[in-house]
Amino acid sequence: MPVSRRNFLGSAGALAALELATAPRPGAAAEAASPSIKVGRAKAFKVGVPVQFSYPDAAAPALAIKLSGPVPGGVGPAHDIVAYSQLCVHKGCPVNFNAQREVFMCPCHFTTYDAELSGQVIIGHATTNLPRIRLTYDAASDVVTAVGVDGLIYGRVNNKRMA
Amino acid sequence: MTNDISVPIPPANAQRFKTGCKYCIVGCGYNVYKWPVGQNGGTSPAHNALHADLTKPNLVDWISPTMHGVVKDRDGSSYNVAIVPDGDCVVNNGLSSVRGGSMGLSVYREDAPTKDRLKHPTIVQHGQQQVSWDDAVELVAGVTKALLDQHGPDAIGTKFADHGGQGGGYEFTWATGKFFYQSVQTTMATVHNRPTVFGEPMASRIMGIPELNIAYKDSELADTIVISGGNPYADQTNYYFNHMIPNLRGGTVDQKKAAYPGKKISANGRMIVIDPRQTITVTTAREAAGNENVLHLQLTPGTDVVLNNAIGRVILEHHWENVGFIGDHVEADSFGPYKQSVGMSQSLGAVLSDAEHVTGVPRADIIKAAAWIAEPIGTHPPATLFHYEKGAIWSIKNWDVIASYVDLAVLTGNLGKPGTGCARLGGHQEGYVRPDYPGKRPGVYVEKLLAEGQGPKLWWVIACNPIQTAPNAFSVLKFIQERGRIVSDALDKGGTIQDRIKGVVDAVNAGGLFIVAEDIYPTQMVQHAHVVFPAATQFELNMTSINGERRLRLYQKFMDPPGEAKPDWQIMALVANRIKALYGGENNAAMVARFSGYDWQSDADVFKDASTASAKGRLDAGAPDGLPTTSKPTFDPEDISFLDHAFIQSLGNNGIQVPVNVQNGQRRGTERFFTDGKFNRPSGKAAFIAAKQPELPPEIAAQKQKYKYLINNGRFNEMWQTGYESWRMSNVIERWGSREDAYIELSPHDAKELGVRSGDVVRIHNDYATATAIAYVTDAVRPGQPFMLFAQPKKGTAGFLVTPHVDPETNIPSYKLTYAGISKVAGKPAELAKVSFKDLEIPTRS
Ligand code: FES
Repeated sequence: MPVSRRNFLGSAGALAALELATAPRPGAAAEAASPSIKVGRAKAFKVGVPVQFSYPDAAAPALAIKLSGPVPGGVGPAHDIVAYSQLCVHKGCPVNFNAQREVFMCPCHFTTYDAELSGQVIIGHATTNLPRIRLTYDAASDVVTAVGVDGLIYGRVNNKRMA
Repeated sequence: MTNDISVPIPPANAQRFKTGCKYCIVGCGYNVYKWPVGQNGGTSPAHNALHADLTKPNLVDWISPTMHGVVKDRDGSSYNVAIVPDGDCVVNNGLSSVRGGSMGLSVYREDAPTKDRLKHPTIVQHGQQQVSWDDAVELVAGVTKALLDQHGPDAIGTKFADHGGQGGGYEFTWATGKFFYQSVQTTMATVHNRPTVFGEPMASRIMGIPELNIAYKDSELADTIVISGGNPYADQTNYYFNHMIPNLRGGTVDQKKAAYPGKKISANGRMIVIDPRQTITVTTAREAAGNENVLHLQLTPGTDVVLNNAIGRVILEHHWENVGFIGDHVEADSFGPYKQSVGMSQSLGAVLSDAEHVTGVPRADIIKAAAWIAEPIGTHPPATLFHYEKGAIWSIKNWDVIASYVDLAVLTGNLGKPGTGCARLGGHQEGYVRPDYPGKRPGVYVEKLLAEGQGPKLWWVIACNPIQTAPNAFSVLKFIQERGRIVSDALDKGGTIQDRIKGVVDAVNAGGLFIVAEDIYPTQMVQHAHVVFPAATQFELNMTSINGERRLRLYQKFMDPPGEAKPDWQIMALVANRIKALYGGENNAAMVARFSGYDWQSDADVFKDASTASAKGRLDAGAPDGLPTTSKPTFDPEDISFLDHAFIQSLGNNGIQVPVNVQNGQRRGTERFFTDGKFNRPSGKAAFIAAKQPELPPEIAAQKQKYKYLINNGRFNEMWQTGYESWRMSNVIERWGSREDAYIELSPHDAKELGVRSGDVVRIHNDYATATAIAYVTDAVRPGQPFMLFAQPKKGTAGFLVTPHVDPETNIPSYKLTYAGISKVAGKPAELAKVSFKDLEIPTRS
């Protein structure tokens, strides 16, 4: 049937994203529900340039971004580093970051999420915020670490690490 | 920790049901899983109902947190339900909108914002007091009978929904229609959002073109899709994303080649959007098709007829009209007046310069639109699909705007072939089957009579809220309060039900209005009612509904209604049977007969009754008496002959497209209309209607003289109808804050001039009323033309500001056209701190 391929538009996008996803950093405990995963040094972030990582496992691509100013929940010396799951919670396509508006935009069905405001849906078909990766910052080492998720990552029954 | 968030897994033995989305016209198919709380399935494919390996991400039919709910049946047991978009439904192929994808949040539960569902009947006695069904029915039946006897049928009025989906369905429209039109026989009836009982695109019907005449796949096959006054991204979401967008992206070329062998097919479909706003449909269509394949005609509101006629004039100039079609399928005497109306006696240059001046649309774009609609591609005319919705329907004059638009489809013969058609996009789902309305076209403007102290004495409002959705809505609130007070005073005295019947009858004879509300939530309307009947709704009964391509499905019951709530058909039957018994006691055989025929035992019985009536002939599917016989329809486009619940259920979420006919013992649906060249007039031909650009109606002109801003209004993606349920969805509350305010889109220019920033509270006022709303600054709207969310609760209703003007031909209001002043009231309220005000309508171009 001609329409059937569309079913998988979302999933195909999501799979592509998974292939891009990096493996979890060594040292993250495989059995932990909320592993701690190093994202990078705050100094290395450039405003508006997303850093790809994955959390809580290799099948969960995520983006960390230094925004143009401080936001609630932002970490780093300027409280401006945030991170989100990259999988649109509509049908799982990987979202893109638009630095000018500081929003995530999904190319599949055009859902837009506010990167400054906890991933709130500005307009679209997603029914929850884009899941936010909780970050911590260690000033001594300048390291940003992912430690948990707010909201359910697309495709999952919970946010526990998958084998 | 929210990291602990999880959604329970339906076990392999979960109960399964089929349903559709409750909300928009598209009617996406959904699968429902139901299983006892605590008996979850496992992650291996054998242990869950999805047959999915849930140790890996489930990318196909993920159950999001908002698709899950917990319900309690009347036996006290609790169940999980998951309401998941159906990948096998040809309507949505597994896609969900923000509305349908949140239906898990919409079920009644005691620990959620839906907890205030109406559960018990009430009668006013110093506030609404819970009573038995017997008492509530006795009071309403007793008053109805007394008023019938004293004053006749028109003492009983109703305002009732006429649609499918939530708050409707064939069972609903039949039971309520049978009661008011066949038993009571009142003419004092109006439909949920307008002061008439007739359809909104009346001109189209009279032209022989029922408004739902296409199949959704036509938008995959069209070379050009034209949308006038519609925003399908938000309002027909998965029609747009599952059918139109693939075409715009160039993904349906093979289907087009198969439908039109030998025709030159361009890679991307083209889209023309006629809208004063640069909506998200415009911006996302550009993203999908490329700027060069999208034409936005950003007309001055209300100038539709001039624009449509100018496009027709260009088509005729270039001889792009479909001569063969017009010769064979159009009533010949209607063509001359049409040509006259588009200015064939004037030069093209004169028509175009006038059109450019009036509509604000550059002449080059008018010419381009005509070419995209009608200029042959090689030897073939393009397949053009015309759609329209409220921006056209509720514009300056319903009759002429719709006629001038549908004329373009007739002129170019874009009817009855793959990739063509001229259809409304639709708002809610449909499902209309009612006996003939006993009055004349265009019906009675009941709310206006009521505001003037006249009209019916009993007003029974079912599944709608005129305080938010009537023109000049403030006047409705006023008469409800003032005339309702007289009856409340009588009911406050209490007494036996017989005492109260007498008290109410005396009160209404002294100018009072007895208000009965039948609904699911305590809306503002319900709060003003003297008797409240709590209704069941979709998910709580078996009901049938059609979508925008007339696809009929059965939405199964999978949970009990809250408290003592009952399906509307049962409520109507209770009252009808009680009235019948009262007349039986008086040996009044004629009236007993009138109130007979309510012995239904099940939802399926009601459908059967409706189907039998439907089969007897054309019912009142918008085809009123009082028409010249030459323009009477010959078939009912929503006919449900030959159908029953069991058969429809067996067809699952793909259902069947009505009307159905039987060939060789097989029931066959109707994919699209007019494939046989037959139009819905006695001649079997279509007819042009010559349309004229109207003057601004005096009520609106008076506001324009005094106030600076043209207030356009409409829907927003997750906000359904009056927001009666949307504002009980936790994700909507999180997005928009808890104030239940409308927002108003203001251009940056207007915002600057008013000293207003996004999030500020503004006051919008004219001679009719004052409303407040939250400013949302966006350049999607033009300076001087703010856009306000329609029909919102509290003080935000745009309807307060809309004039009482209606089109005299159709009684359809000019909701989209009012003028008001705007001023700032206050800065951004603290509760909106977590609400995003980034541009709504322009999310693309990364
Ligand atoms: S996957 Fe549909 S909008 Fe992102």
